[in-house]
Amino acid sequence: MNYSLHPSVGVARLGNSEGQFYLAPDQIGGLPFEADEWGNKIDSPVNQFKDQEGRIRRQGQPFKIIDEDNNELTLASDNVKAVTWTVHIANKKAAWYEFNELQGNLLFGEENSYSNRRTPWRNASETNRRSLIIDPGPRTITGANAKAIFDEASASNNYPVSFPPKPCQGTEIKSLGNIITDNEGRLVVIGGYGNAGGNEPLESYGGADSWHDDIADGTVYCTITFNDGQELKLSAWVIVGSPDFAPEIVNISNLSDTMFDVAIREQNLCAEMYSNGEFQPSYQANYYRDIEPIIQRISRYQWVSNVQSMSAFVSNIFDFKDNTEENQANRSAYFNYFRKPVNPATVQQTPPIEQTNQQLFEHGIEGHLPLMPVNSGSNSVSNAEDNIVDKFLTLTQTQYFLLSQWASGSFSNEKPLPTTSAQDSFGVFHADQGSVGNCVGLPMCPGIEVTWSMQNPVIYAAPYVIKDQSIGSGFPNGLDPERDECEGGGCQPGDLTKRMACPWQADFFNCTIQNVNFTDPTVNKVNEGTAEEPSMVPLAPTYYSYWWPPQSPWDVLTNQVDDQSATHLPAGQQVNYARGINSFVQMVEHWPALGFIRNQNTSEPNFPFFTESERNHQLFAYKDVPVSDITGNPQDNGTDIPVFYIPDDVKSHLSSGCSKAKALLKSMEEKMSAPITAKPAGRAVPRSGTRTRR
Amino acid sequence: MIHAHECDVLVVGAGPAGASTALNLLNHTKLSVTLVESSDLQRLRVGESVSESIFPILDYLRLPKSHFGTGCFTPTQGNSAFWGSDKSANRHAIFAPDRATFQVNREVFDLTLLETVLNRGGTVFPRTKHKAVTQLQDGRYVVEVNHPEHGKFAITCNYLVDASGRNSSLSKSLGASVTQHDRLTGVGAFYKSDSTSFEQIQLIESDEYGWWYSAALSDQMVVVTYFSDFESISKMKLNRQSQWQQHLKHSKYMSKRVERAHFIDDNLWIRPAGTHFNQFSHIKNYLPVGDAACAFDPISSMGLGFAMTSGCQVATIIGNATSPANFNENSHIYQQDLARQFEEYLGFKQHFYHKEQRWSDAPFWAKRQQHVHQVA
Repeated sequence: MNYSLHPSVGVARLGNSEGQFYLAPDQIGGLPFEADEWGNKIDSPVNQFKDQEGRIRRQGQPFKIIDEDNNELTLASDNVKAVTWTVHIANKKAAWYEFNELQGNLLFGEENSYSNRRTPWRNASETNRRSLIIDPGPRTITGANAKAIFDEASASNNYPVSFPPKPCQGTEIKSLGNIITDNEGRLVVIGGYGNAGGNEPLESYGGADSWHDDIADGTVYCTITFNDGQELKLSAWVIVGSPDFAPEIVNISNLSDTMFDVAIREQNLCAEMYSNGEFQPSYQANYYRDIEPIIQRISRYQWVSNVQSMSAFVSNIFDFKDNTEENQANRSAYFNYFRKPVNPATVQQTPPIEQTNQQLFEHGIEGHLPLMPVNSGSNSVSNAEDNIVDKFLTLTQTQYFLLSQWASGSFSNEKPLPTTSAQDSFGVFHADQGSVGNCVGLPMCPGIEVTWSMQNPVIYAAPYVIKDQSIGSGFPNGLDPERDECEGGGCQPGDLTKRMACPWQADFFNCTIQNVNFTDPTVNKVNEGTAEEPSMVPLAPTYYSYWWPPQSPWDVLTNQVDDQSATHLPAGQQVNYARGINSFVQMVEHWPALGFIRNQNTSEPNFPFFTESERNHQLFAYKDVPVSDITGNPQDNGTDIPVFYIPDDVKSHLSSGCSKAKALLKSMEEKMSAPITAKPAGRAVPRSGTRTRR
Repeated sequence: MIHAHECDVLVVGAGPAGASTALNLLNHTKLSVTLVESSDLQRLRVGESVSESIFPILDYLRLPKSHFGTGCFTPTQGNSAFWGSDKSANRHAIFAPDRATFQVNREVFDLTLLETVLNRGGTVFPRTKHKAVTQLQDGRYVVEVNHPEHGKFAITCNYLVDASGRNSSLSKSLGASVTQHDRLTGVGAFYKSDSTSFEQIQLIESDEYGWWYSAALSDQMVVVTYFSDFESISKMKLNRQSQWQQHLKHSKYMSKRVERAHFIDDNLWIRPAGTHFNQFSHIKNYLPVGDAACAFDPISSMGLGFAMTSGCQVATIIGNATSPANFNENSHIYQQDLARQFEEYLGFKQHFYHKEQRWSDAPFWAKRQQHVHQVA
């Protein structure tokens, strides 16, 4: 038996609920699971993603020690004496470079390095770079029902702990989350609370200087001590992402696809498919394993975005699983509408006009149907003069190869048999796919959970396994703020998330759609301002493209259950998901008000009906604004524009004491809840049990 | 779960008067002090102007000015009063010729006082409303209170300090007699500037029915309040936004100040601002402080300073009470002292209002220009 720790990369998620959390899903597109306060899994999928106060519950990631046959080692196993966990997560965002799209991505060659591109550091004026890291240091817990918090107070004395100062805007980061063990000593990592704060105004999707958030990633070490005194040491990685607001809707290329692609092309996962630097045309794809998931993911995009041009790709225009010669023309027609991926190592040598990832239509700027997938690529924002342009999305190279095998008929349509094995036919653990498969894999600009560094083989030790710079010995002297793990040598806590927007809400607010120029392969934006005050706008003509709607929905349907006096909308209307959140600052404060997009008809999988649910409607006010109000022409009063907004709150303007009043109230009420020393007074004791308690 | 609670001194109300009383008791005695506060502390506090005379009082409370942080006291940059004339006069010239004034951020101020009460060992029950008050034969009080989560419980105390503010239902239920001199009422709103920032000044402008007051709360925000008699406000329906705004349009300077600004909240706020005097010294083991004792016209800028000085006086009486007779004697002295201060205030008030002669026949002004003596 060969035990290992899974998932190899776990995914916890932020929530602002103080106490409530659930456990991460174990399948791609699966729902998370309920758990008790110690993270003991309750075998029931989550139905409410928010608590009674409308706050989003956090997602905990459980870790399991299993072998290939799914035998699990826990404290309850006969031969196990003890299980000890050490987790070290950190947030390096503020110490890293500004996010300038693909600048710094070494897959495009050394000339694209941060230094050659002169990419500025975030918070460049801060000379103590390490002070910019949020680093609570490692935490070790052992046995059942143990817990630890990633805060400053509980850190070990000899570790160089670092937390940011109290900001003027937003909320101070005091913790990156916590860890617990369940009744059998399994670890659950629970992320932060979605707090973010800074001093500078937020103006860009990449965030701003002086800001911090409580996203994190880092190492998970486990030591199993057996009754005979032998020890087994295992390790994994955990990342903390923002909430998955549409858990049952999956990106066409998710992070599991990205890791699989790296494993196939760079880690020799399957020589029959890829060897000697090329895909093998003799390889037989499998319809159910390789093709159908892509089609299903395309089919669910419509619930979070308007991509009507993709609808034929999910209709039964022909039998997709028919691998006969007669069906080949159909399959090829289908396949030919997919944009060909480019190889980052060589794409810069290709003339821009021939770069397939810059082409919207099948003949470049001309054609009749936008190519698939109809998403933005990883850089539809800046120009070729100082960046790598990547306008439109392609599948991963491996996905594209498998689809090409399907088109040419080199595929089997036999349903894989159900198996009790913990691994798939490539030897990849299901648990490892089930965690990262719910994260964005493409495009990466920067993305939602992690970014393009995940496409680089040097950060991996093995397929789906992150290379730990310390090889399991940890980082007792603290973390390095400036080291680039993409140059090799392995990763430190904080490295996987450090390129992401800071705070994450900035990217989430700004990047759901992008108007992408589709005529000039080297230019995305032009300056419509002056040299001194540039105003970069997309170069026309543009195409309305989505980034990652399954993670950051845009066009959603209202549901049939919410009180319509609060929603101000009929059921079944397609509306903007973020309606009412009208600025970066509002997103930072009010992201928990956003709804979750849920399938309301789960009992009939063939007939999904996804609607928005659990949106905090009471936060938002609504007005019908006649067009005449804007134009000043009374003739225009026959058309109204619906406007959702957060009513201006007098207190938020006046409260220079920040949240002092709230904090004071809370501490007083907490003291009240503690028993108060008193002898009974000369009055009847009030009855208990008649009040509603939360 | 709270069953019952006992303390030496129960202070009803956790504003500056209640907090000052508590701080003084905590600084100088070993008495246990509990404050009950009906609000959740989140309510809006309208800033006000004070003279520099409050700083020695804060020192006495062992709360130096620096403790409140920057931004709590902003020196008044300037002020214009269109009072008695269509020409602007410096407000100092009319109302406070000898003293510098400061704009107080009441949120920071009140909360810092309260936080210090907690840090020095006081107990505060927020969201706790007082209901029935019963005096036991031994002179102690039992105050029945209600908290939205903890439910009803009783607090027994030796001394009851009434810091419940202008409405002071407590004093009425105990049999104090409150003399109401006028029913001045403020109706106000917050404005946010559309683009340019507000001048950091106070502006006062009188009209036939009362006077407008505005102060900048930040460069983006001003508060605008109209003070008039309650009867006029209800007759002219100035508690309604449209009528209030209509009335504002008739003002010459105030309307100009907010012409490039918009209402932040659709609801106007309404606060009593009248003058009254509480006669309480016949009630055992009970003392009012702040507005519950004497309420002053806001034009005097006396409210906050008095809240704190009266709190200090009351704490001294309680701290030094050796016997019921001794308490009674000092309570009478306190009452007389208040009467003297109040008499002096009535003189000031008449003096202020007398400076406006343009509408001396209008009831609002005529009433305030007569010399009134406190009926003791």
